[in-house]
Amino acid sequence: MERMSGSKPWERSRPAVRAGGAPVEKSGGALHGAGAAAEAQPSPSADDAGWSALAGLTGAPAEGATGRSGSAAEERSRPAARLLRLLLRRYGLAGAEEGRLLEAACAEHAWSSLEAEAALEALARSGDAQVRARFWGERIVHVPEADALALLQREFPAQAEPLPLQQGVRELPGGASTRLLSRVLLGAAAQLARDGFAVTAKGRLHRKLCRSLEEELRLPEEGLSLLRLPPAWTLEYEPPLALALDLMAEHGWLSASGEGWLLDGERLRGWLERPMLQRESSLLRALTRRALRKGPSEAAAASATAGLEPDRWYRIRELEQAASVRGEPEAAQRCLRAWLELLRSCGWAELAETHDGEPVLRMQLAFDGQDGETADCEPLLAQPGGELWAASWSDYRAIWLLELVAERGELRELTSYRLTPRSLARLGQGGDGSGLASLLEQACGCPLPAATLGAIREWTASSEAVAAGGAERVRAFAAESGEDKFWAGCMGLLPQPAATPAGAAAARGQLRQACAQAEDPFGLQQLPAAEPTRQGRTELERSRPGLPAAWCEKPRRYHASTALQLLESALRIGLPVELSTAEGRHIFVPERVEREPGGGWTAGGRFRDSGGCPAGAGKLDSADKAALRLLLPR
Amino acid sequence: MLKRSSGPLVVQADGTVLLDESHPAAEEAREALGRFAELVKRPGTLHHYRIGPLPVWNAASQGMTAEQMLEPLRRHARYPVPAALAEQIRQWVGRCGGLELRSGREGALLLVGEQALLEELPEPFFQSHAARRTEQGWELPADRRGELKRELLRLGLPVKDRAGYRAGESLDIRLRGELAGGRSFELRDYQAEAVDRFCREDGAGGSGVVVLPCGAGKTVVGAAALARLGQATLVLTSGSTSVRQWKRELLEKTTLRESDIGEYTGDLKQIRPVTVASYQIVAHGKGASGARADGGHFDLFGSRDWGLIIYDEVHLLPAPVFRLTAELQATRRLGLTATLVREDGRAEDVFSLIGPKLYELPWRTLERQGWIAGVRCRELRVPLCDSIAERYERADRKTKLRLASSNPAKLEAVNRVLGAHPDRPALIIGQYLDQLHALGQALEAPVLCGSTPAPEREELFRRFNAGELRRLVVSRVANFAVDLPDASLAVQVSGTFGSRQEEAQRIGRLLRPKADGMPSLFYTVVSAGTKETEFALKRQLFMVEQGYAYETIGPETAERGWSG
Repeated sequence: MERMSGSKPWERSRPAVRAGGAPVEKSGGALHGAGAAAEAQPSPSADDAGWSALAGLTGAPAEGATGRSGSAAEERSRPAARLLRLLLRRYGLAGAEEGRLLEAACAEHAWSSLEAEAALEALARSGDAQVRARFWGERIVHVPEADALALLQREFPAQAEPLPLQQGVRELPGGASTRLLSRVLLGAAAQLARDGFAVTAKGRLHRKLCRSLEEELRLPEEGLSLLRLPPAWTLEYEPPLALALDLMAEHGWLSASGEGWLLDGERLRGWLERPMLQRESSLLRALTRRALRKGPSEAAAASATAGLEPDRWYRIRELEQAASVRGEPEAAQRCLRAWLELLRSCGWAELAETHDGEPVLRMQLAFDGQDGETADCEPLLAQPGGELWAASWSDYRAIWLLELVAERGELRELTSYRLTPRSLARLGQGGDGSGLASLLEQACGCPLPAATLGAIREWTASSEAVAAGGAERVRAFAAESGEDKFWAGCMGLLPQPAATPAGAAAARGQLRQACAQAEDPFGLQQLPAAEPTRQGRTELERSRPGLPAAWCEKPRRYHASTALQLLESALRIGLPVELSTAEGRHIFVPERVEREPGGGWTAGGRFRDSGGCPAGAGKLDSADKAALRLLLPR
Repeated sequence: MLKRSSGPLVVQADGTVLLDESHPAAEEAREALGRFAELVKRPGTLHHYRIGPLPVWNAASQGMTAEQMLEPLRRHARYPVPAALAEQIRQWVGRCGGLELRSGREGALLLVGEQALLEELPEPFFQSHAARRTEQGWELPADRRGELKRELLRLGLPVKDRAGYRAGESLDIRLRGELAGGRSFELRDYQAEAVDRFCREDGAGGSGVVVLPCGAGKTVVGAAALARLGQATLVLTSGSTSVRQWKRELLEKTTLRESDIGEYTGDLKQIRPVTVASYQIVAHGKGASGARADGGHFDLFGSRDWGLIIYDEVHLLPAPVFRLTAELQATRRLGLTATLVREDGRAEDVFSLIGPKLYELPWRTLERQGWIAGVRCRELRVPLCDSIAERYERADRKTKLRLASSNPAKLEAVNRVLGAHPDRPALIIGQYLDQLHALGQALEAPVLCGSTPAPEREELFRRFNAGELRRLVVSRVANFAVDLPDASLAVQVSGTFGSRQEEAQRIGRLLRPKADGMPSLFYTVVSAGTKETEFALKRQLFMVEQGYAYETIGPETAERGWSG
């Protein structure tokens, strides 16, 4: 019996890091919980727990496979949980082909195939993962999307600790952004709406408009690369615009119509009327959802910030550690940095450093939104020079109006909107502008300065009403509307489509396709549910009567030919083998058995981390004198 | 911006600060902000301030730290103060005084300070100043002191000047404890503090600017500084009238005798231990444009061993005097002003060549303490007279202002204002002589302008102060240093474009506390709907910055009483 490396596994020194579900202290970190240790190799008793998952299978309980206490640490060390962690860490929401997942589990945990199968069965039974079958028979194991974040947080509970409240930090220039994603998105939607969602014959937005929108959106490329967006958008548009369109479609602002796309005013209004922090939180969740879908590392990064308490500073180093245990460490850390920058650029997070120079982050809003938040808005500020100032806390319906009728300055604490001949002309309203003035006065809550009124009158009159009957549509809409005259007036400002563009059908198709892709990004929901594989169990049931009872009772030393038969049976059924030597008891999972001339043999496989020795590849041969026993499930 | 409170300030990363005038805490925030920010416009209820390096350096020179500037911003800010701005303020403050000028060997200068800052300076900079590196720092010739300071400031490195000052000719002078007529006299607390700051021996004093409102006794501060130092002094002031006023003040408040004080004006060229000269004669007098060697009036600076130069109305300091001042950095320099705003953008030169702001007291504070009178301001908008409306429409930009300013309809408005306040001694102040003469004629009031001979001016002032004259029409010559303590109503009919300091100085004529304790009234008559209204808004910025509000009214309400 020897290790591939040349030394016996139990003779190797103890690994630097090993724990069986106990908290692991990381250098300099303050991680809590068992997440960091979740993937550490189990103790000899823990690996036996694999069999407890095979409840219902017949056979004698394996020696040492005693019942386990239900403590949380032990619970997480159960094979099903370990398989779930593997699924999350390595495959993410896209899931994995069943066979590949089981192979990976066997390789990672030195499980036998039957053990891995049992773990999958238990996992599927718990509902934490689902198995779906493609029509050609391939089975996909995946976690339900709705549970993904909760599962990540449950299975890898490593969580950073906030800095003490009294600990000050040094703010960094550029550490916070005033460009809230909601404002940027609203600006883009207004630009599209003003443009009437005009599309080319191929159903694509015009290139010039796309460029303008991309400039407007200005989101970091690296951050956007963390998001999974519907290919229907990304194939046609650059990531910033693809994201904006995806969000608009998700919120229902974009709907398919005879003319291609149509702005759904009611859905938009519903969003605009939401309280500020709830609106932002919903966007944060939307981006997080897209990151979870993208891949394990992206999901690890996004989930690391999801549980953070708002208004508290966290060390980025600890967030990196939290992300590292949920994905491939290096990739997860890289993704985390890009994710934090994305959060910052959306105006949701602030970056700073402690006085000893350590980078820290503070979320400015709660992931789940603010309870009891009311829509307490600040009024617009009308300046005599014709400028109108809006804060992020201003009524978003009023901001929508400004986005339609005025030219916006840089998005800042107070953003300036200026009514200009150009901005009014592009509305194509005509008339005396009184309808528009009335809307603006409602938005400001006070009469407009005389200069502003004069300018509206003059500039509106000089612009040509572009659509038939377009003059003063605002007033007409407002008059028709029963309840919300203001909103009706705002909608009246939008251009009326003159004719169905050639690309309307393509645009509609693209929107529908994008919505479908967003709804079911991996096409899993359409697949029928399936049972996990029972191949190993079937083989066990079939072979069990033929197995000598002595092989399963206690470890015995056998003649080389008998030992060969025992190992071949273990390999065929997918069972682990217990070895008993003078040094102790060990678990060996055979992966291949080769007969040699003269009655000799060699068995290659894996030693499981047991008896104080780490796992590793190894082999037995006919000269070995260890006592053997087949480990059967209970 | 997801965080907010209910403060009156919106602080933006580019240094713009918006003050919501209608907020209950606006006054408190304005007072705090005024110490290190400058009001740039006030288009409506939102006043736009800008935090820039110079106001910050001036505040830092008075001992304010970056945190003391940031604290009120944070306290009053509606949204979090951007870190970029906070960092910028810290940097500005950190750079202010990071370099220091000391006296080196054999009269040379030594530039020392933080290595990082010194390394920012390019090699050619030192070469151009004939500097050489020593163990202590960079050694430079003494005559580079002014130019070096000016250039360092331009590079964003205001240097602390600790190179010391030469002692001038000694002078026996004290402040009087009792004035003529037996009135006791002593410095007010703020005057004493201003003098203390200027005369500090720790190296921080010796040059700088004291900013006090009109009527707060800046001349007394100058006289007290002179008395404290006891050295021959050159006083530069705005015109011959103020030269005489300085002389009177010095004779009244100090133990100097008539023979100790020289007047250096167009009429008299006396050089005595204390000499008072006008900027006009120094900068633009005969020979002034040439080098000093040609015997021009620049020789005045070298004519005695001056231990102190006082620059009265330092905001008016003309360019030639700046040039000369750059060469006089070893002499103590005291700047006095009510409005440290340079319309010509040379505020940096005042900072580097005269010195940083050493002391400032807000106008409102002095008003509350009763040292200056309260004043209420109204902008009276009158329609453009039909007779010039058509010309106005066709005119170019400059002529438009001229036409709007000289709007004949203003006469009726002035009449109404004067009629509404018949008991108040009134000044009618304007820019254009033909307009002023027309007003003088219509109002039957004398007109005082640049061409009015000095004795006649003195007589007009005397009659006005004695109550013999109730109305006086004055040109811009009365903008500064004219002491008309009883004037309690001023009607401004025209002015120099958007000059903030001119507006403030004109209002300053009304600030002497009145016997009846009533506030003074200031009307600015503006042609509605013309360029003049834009300039008027700009002119009012300094006063608004000081916490004064302008009420805008129409001609029909000119007689209306004042609210509040």
